[in-house]
Amino acid sequence: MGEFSPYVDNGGTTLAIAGPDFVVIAGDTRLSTGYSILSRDVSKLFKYSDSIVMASSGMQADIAELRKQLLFTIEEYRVDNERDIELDAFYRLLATVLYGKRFFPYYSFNILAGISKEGKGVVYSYDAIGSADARTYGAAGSGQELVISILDAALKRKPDPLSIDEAIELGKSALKQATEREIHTGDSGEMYIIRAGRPAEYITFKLRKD
Amino acid sequence: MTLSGGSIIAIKYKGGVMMTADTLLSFGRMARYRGFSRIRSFGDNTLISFTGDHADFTTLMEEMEKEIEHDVQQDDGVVLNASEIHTLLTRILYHHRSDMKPKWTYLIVAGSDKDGKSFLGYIDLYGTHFECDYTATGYAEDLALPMIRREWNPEITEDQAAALLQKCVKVCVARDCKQSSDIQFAKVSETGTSLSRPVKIDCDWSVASYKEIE
Repeated sequence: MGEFSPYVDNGGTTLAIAGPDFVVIAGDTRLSTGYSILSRDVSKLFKYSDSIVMASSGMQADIAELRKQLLFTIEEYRVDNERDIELDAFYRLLATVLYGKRFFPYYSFNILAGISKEGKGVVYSYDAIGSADARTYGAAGSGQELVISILDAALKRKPDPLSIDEAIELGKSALKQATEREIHTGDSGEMYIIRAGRPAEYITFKLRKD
Repeated sequence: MTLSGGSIIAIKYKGGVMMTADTLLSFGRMARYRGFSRIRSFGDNTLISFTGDHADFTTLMEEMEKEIEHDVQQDDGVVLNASEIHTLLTRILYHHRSDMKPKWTYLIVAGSDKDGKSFLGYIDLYGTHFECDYTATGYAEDLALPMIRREWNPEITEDQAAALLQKCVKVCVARDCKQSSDIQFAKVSETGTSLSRPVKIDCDWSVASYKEIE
């Protein structure tokens, strides 16, 4: 008998786009294993505070565990420091928690979106073992290659600054495009729109269910 | 090779959750034990059913009994609802998979949550978990789920739910070689849980083409 593999790929696509004073972060809600859809309604986004949202794809069970560990730690932070954790600290925390499992990694690909201390929109993109960098946009998961190409074409050499409506539409449309060609992505989409000094706004939109 | 259980189908209806499983334990493709109940009622308002390894499921239930006993000894009047049992089982299954000693089971948990609303949840050996309105495991995932998706709505009555499950099971009996025709139905609602005696699903085999050839 072959050895047990503790990992499953539950698929799904996530993305985030930052602007001068805002950031949008989105993902689909399909949960699959192989060719079967387990659920059409499982969120990949997790809101840690009014201005910090994490999008995760990969293995759902590992992602749930990772979220739980992060929640424990930020609660500890809140008690110790008598204030909520900020984006730059959370970025380091996530990297550390992921690297802490270097030799039995969480099978999760995370994107972190938030507003920096200076009020700018920031996207951090991670690999499974905590290597991370700040970007203006990012994508992860089973539709990563499709989405990143669309975002590259739209944003890489864009002359004028990105508006929030453009970012929302681009995010939605990139996910829709991924759904057309990638079977593990679909059902419905959800998005957090985070503006400086305002609580994150949550929207959902339809995606193909086939 | 070990003893294993086959498909489960479960759906929510207006006022509760209904679930169905056959009563067969297979040893490979041998129908080893008939008349075995794969649906367990847990406490007075939760149903747990399994697909997969019977021994692993038994061990899991022993672990759960210990947890419940610990809870009872606290004597604080706290009784776990189905949603909490679902979370607890998820943590136990995820723990075992992380230990590289998975409990090879797919579980369906039915009951109600803290607000008294119907609860239906799925867990697998990896710790994958979610809540849903209807779900199925084993071959029923391929055979029954599409039929349920076509016909289900949140306003479905108890009788309609029973008829839908009956229809799904019939397809499973006809197409899944490890599905037995002795089926148990169970439901959980405000009034508690109830488990039927095994009933026979009669499939009309007269339509089968081998009759013609004779």
